[in-house]
Amino acid sequence: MKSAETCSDEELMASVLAGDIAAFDHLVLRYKERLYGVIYNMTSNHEDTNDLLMESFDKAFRSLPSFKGQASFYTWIYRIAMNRALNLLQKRKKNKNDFSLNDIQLEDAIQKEFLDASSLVDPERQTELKELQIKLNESLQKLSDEHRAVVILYDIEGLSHGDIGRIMNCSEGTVRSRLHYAHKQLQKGLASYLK
Amino acid sequence: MNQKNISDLLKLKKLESPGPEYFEHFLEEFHRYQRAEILAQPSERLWAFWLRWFDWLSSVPRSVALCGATVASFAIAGVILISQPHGSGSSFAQGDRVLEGFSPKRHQVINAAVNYAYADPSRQQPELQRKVSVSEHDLSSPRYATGETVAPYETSLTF
Repeated sequence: MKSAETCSDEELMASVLAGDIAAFDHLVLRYKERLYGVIYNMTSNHEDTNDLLMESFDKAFRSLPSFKGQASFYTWIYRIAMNRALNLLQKRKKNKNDFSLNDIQLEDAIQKEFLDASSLVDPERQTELKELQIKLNESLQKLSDEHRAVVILYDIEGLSHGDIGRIMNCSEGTVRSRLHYAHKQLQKGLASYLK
Repeated sequence: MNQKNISDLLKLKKLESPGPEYFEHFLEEFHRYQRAEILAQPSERLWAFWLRWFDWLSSVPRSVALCGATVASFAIAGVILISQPHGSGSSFAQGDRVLEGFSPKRHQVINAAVNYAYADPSRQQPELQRKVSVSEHDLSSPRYATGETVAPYETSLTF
């Protein structure tokens, strides 16, 4: 009998629909970190990210019976998470008084393993890295929501143009043009810092 | 700086994380969240339902609402009257009234039949129940009681 870790997403979904609710937990464990990254990079706020992550998984669980299998599970759940994040950002824009730019966190802990592996353990180099991190996040925040979304999904998550198009409900051409524009804007934002 | 540099820089963001302790109890928190959502739902739905109903009611003209209420009252009263058993008391008491005027032997047979029917609700036949309470003339010669044994009732046949 296959263990849950070796089951594919589709097999786990089929198990859930057959009544094995616990199989959904394996999907949650499988995607929690990746979805966290996507949502956090969109919202740049830990509390919002935590709420949206819960909402996204809950929504996915409730919507499983209506999942037609036309897309893979991971593009489907990425779409749910991205839509939630975009909705939140829309609300933020409408309620500017309720949200302060101070709520945006531009700096997050970088994995210790990376620092050790890249020999960036000395304090000066770590400070440089932190400054670069902040500057990069500032530049990302200046992009529009849609441009930031394609950058996150392509450059950070490593998804293909086709998958991004399915998640964002747009054509591959639109994805490429948004990506091109976003990269240009980021170049401008970081150029002065990196000179 | 070219686009490749930008892409490489962005890849670094994959290394940003809230730390392993954040995800340690994530599943338990998620289950708590789901339970809270489920508990919140029924009252929200009920509240939303009543809000929508009152909203609709306020848009209905008063005369139409009064007519509707009157018609509904008459309909409910009619249903209550029709479904009232003739005379008071339970079906067994009704059966007892029906048995007045029969010979003791027939009394015994019909009593057994009534007990048999009401012992199992699936065997009750509403048409038969109503017709049992008609005049004595119709009940003077019950056709389905043969001797001491009870004949099974057929739904297509009535007294």
